[in-house]
Amino acid sequence: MQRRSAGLLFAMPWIVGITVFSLYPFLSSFYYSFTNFSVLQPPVWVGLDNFSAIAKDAVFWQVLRNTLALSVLCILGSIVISLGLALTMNAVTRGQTLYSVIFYLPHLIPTVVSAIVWMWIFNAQCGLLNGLINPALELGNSVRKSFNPALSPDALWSGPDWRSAWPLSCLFMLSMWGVGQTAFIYLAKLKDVPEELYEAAEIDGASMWQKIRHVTLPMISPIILFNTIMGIIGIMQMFTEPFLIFPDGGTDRSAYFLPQYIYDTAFNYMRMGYASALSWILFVMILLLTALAFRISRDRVYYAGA
Amino acid sequence: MSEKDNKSGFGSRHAQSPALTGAAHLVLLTACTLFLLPLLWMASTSLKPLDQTMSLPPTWIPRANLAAINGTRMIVVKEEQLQEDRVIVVPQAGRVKGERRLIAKSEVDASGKALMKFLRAGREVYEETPVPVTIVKECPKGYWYVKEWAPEFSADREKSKTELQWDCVPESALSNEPHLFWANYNSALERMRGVGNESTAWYAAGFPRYLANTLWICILSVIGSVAACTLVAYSFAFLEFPGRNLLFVLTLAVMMIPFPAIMVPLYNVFRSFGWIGSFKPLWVPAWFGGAFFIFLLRQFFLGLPKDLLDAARIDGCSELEIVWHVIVPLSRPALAMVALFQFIGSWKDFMGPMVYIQDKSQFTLSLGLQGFFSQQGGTPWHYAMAAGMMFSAPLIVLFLLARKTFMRGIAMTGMKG
Repeated sequence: MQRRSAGLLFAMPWIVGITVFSLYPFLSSFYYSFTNFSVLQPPVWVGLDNFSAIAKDAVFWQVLRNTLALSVLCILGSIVISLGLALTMNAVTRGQTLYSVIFYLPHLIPTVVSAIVWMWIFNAQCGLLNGLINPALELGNSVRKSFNPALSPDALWSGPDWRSAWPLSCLFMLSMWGVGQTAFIYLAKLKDVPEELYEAAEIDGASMWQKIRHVTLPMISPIILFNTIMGIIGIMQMFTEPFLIFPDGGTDRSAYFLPQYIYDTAFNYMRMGYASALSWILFVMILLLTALAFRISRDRVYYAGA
Repeated sequence: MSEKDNKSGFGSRHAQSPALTGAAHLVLLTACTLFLLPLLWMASTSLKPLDQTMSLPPTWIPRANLAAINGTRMIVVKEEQLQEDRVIVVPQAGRVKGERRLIAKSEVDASGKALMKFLRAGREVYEETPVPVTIVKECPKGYWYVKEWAPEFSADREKSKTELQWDCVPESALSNEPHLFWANYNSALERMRGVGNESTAWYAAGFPRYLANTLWICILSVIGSVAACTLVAYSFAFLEFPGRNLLFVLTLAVMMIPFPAIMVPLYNVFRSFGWIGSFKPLWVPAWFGGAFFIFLLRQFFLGLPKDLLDAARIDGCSELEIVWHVIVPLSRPALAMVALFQFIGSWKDFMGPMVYIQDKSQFTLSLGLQGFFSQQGGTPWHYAMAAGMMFSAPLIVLFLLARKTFMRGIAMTGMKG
């Protein structure tokens, strides 16, 4: 009996915490999404008005497209790069620790700092990125000039203003910089793959790629699915980086995403009901993408225990 | 060395060809370089003088220009390359008598007189009549007008502005050698005060205040998080109470809720508590536990030997005593991990402070750093990078000190799969 009451007592902070700071806000945002509501006035029930307004909201559709494009880009990129790094790290015996420490470092840099650093890298005039690619572009220019001496100076290649010309690729690079953590999780899982499976594959004459394809990947497929879902949740709520790098949402809102739109709607335009409706759409999108990940993986994920 | 450490190989863990291993190292080293580039770029920029941050093409090693001014070799700023013949003169009469001036050679007439400028109400205006001048130095076209370099913010910064030395030197007299401008770090700290807007409330809130605010939030969050999560995780792992399984499922489920989705109602919850504009929204929730940490600790506790708990119970220990005397000593690594992750999370947090903090005296380092943007006259990149280095350094040091705890924690993160 004592354990029962102690259990409830010990769990009490969390029962209160999850209710007040997670469940209540989550459910009340569902209610708010059917209301007109600013901080100053109490909510007024408007039924589905918010959702029908969203359906006609051109900004929303643009923001939705941006968010989906960035998510798909970053999730696929993250799977490929982090798995590639983990497989390569697993192929060497020496220096694994040093490599994983270096790959993990970017994860420790506060978001504000990494946003500033990357803005500086993307700087059109004296940024590092253009500094690195300009020699190649100049080589290209001289080749073009030798073919066409009349080439006008305006037509010469030069490093672009990354933030206005390639907003999504800016965020993609920044986000790929942080895949070290995922790579490390994969590496830990790769070490759990039973040795006998590789031996059996070798006896059957499997090549390196066949072993990766038919032994390694199936064995770590559950964690790939898990990391993908965590990636979906992470990328869909990316706020700070776009907020700092594209304070105005980028040229023609090309770098304006759902979390920023929710934030602006709620705290700048004071339309909390509309913002709540948007946030439910964000949540449903995460659910749909997660379901899609499950669907795609259904016949491909192998659960050793099950 | 355990068996696990010996295993490696793309597909197989058996010995593979040296060529393949070499190729793998090559790929990894290239990737490491790419991952380190932004950090090295930040470090490099943070130690450059302002003019070098704008050099084309970008350079990596911070360098200083040196020249001899009045017989002393010093770090200088190259202000401009002369486009005409000039002379350094000392007027013998008039309002600026005895001062050194740089004027065009053509301004000195045949009788050795020149029309001098002087400051009137903050503007440079010509005197009414030419005065006799002594020519001190000829500065032909192509010479550089250089000025002594001084930190932007030094204790006696007004003095340093007016008493900076200057001269004209030929290109050949200038040298350029590697030099690390550590003074940028101090200038960055001064910048964070919000110089230029020295109304008291703003000026008082400088870097020390931001640091104190950030540390305060971090410490309160860490203590609360470790204490609450330990108790809750213990009850999930070893105690029974009605609704335990439902609560556990909910705990896993809320990890799926993105912050922007509950941002609005959560703001209203805090507002109804009267917490907006205080630190409370940033640390009080930690005292009620966090889903991820509770989950991690529960998994860790379940791996502990259960007979120790039973033995302690038979000895008549209360549940709280068991937690304190049995669980806590056995779980130091896991608790350290929660403390570290919470500390880092609170230290890095930007969105929370941005939504809930209004007054500049309550800014955290994240918000203070954001102030480097959109300052008038563009972003001072060398200061922004210096501030970024200082803001990141504690986390990197912490990580290197507690690397094992970290790595174990990250590997555990994937356990749910």
